[in-house]
Amino acid sequence: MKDPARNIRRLAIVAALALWIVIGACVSRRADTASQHRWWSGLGPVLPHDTFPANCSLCHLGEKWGLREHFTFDHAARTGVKLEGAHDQAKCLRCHNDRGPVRLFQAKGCVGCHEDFHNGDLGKNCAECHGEQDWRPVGMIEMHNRTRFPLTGVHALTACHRCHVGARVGKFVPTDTECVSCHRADLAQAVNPNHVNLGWVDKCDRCHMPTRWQQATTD
Amino acid sequence: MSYRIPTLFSLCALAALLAPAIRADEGGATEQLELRISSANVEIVIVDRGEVDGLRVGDRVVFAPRSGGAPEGVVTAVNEKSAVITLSDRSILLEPGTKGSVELPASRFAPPTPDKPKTPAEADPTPDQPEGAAGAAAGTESGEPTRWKNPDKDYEPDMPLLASLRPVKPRERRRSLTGRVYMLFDHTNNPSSDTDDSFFRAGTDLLMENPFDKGGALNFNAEVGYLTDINEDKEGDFLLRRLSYSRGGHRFSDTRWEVGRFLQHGIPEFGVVDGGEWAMRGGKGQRLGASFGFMPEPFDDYATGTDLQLAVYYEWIADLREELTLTAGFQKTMHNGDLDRDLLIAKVRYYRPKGWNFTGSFWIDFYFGGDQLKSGVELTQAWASLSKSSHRGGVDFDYRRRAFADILRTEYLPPEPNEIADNVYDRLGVDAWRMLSTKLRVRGHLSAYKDEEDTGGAAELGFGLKNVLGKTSDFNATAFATQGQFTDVYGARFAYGKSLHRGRWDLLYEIANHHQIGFPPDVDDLIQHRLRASASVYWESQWDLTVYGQGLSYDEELSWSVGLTLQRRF
Repeated sequence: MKDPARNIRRLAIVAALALWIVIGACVSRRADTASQHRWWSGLGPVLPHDTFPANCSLCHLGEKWGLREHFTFDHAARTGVKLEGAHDQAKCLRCHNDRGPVRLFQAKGCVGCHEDFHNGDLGKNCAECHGEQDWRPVGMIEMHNRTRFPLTGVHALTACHRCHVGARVGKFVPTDTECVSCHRADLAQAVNPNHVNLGWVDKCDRCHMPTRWQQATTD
Repeated sequence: MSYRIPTLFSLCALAALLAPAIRADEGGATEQLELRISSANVEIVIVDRGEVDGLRVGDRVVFAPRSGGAPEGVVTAVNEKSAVITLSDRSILLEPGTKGSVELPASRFAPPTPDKPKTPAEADPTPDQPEGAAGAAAGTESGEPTRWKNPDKDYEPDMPLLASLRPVKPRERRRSLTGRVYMLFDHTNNPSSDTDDSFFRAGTDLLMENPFDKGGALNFNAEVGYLTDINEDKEGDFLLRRLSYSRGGHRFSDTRWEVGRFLQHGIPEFGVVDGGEWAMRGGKGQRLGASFGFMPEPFDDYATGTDLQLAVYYEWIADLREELTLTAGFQKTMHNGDLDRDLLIAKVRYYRPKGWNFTGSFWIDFYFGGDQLKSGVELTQAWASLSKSSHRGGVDFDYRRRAFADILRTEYLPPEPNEIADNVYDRLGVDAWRMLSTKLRVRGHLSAYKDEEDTGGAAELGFGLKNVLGKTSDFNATAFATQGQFTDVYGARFAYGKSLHRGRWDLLYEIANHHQIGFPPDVDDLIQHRLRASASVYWESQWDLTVYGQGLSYDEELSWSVGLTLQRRF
């Protein structure tokens, strides 16, 4: 029988989740030229203009000095750097701002601009795992083939946080590869025969296949 | 409150009386100086004329907006080539570009007297002033203006070419809110063993700039999650990743500080802290910083209050191009009041735009005798990369090391003591790629590892075709092999994707033989098939939606998963 309190908690959680989306939809506006570039005349010349064309009217309207309504900037053609994914829609001032020349931050790789969510644990090449459009991690099963623990059977379709307990806060390493590190609860429940009493507390792969925990082989 | 209004009136009256008096002292003949508003804010505007044009504090400016009228303002600060005007009628909002004029005493433009002794201000120019004080210092009466001879004292290579326009400082900018909201859902089902697993997460990542008109930034990053264990419900929970306020760290302020919950800015390897961090940047670009606070445990709930840390760091850079940087930081932690970890982080970065680059981070633990399982000095964790790339190809040598530090803090799920003492994992690898033509790219990977009881490696070789099997499409084929700890794998995968005007879809198929090491020959080989499909839509309104499904077939079993990601940026 379902626990009513649990159902209430579920409802509250779902309501909270929905609220996040509603809040997001409410606080955000439809993108227009000004919001995309986040520049307004009162901001002054934040960007270095030293390499810009002399004809200011290519981008600015004379009287209000605002950006043209359909202002576009071909970043690849003008700078040689093609903006991929969400970078192509990013607001100019997210990168070009008071913090210094962009080339210095670009040279540092992704972490030059993006906070290193993994505390520096996983190296500098974020694109190995993350897509540039929505930063969603993709290809983890493929990446696991480059580790000592390729994902076999049900492991390949197990949520990351089941083994990497710090996944939600970006902590993936170090992770112990011994079976019992993740299957400690299964070990405790294995009472027929009682694994703990028999001292069968490691090297699970002597008997168990990595596909189904229930399936054990015997010589 | 009652005494403020008379005081304000008195100051305004005094200013009104003094301004004409100052002008009268400079003689009767005047010259008209025309100017334009370069940027505008509430109550103040900035004009494109400054000290070199003869403007002084107290000059009265009359504007001629297209909408009519003749609003006035008084110069309240002067820079070399710009000036700040405080409007008399603070309800008026003038547009940039609006013309104006000011009557200046002709004596200001007379040629300088040859034998006139230098004033102290000319002999010893006022150094660059910190934020908020520059204009006032430049605006002092110091004799004749030195027209066309003043160097751009304030100009730096990273500043606007239009240096006569004073850039608006962070504290003067409009308050703004940017960020994203997102939702993730994933459900996995394994019918043959009657298990399922799912999670549902929704969160937001917000940045509010200049929230208190001090030029700082407020960051908020949090999510609620509903995660299940296999076939068992788990409580939903709230995760606060970041709530912090930061100031500085830009060209107007060499000092940066941040308080709240945040990932440490100077050395992220030190982790998230509930406390504060302070850093300053020296004239040669070197950085010095320190942080203090509690370290949340790196799990779902970020439980805090048990681990206290103090960290300091110093970053040396070779020059302002920052092609070579060396960083060292030391972190001391306490766990429930007991002395715990002594961690040294050493980082190196050598960057040449068209040459070899080297980047590395090294975690070095010191055990001073009070630790249970380890002693001396240990390289606990490391990664280093030596790479070179161009538009035609690239190569990247990579080294990684992982070991468990002997610490009291709950940083990992508790490994056994012998695992903490013995486990160490080193991997050395190389990745290379080359464009054989504009449409054909080949790539390879080779790596080897060694841990406390085993050795192995991985290899991949593949190619990619762009725009061959359809416009805006890409096709990749890869053969791979892995010698793992429990499993050896060899197989191949094929991926095809196509970009659309506002979206993309992808298909992936993989077949691999998973050989279980040590199993009887009749059950040790599992052929595993995997099929994955995903589609993404990116709306103009900055919504992104991705849905995906995946099926896995192995050992006469079939598992599948579906999921979606919904996100909006603003």
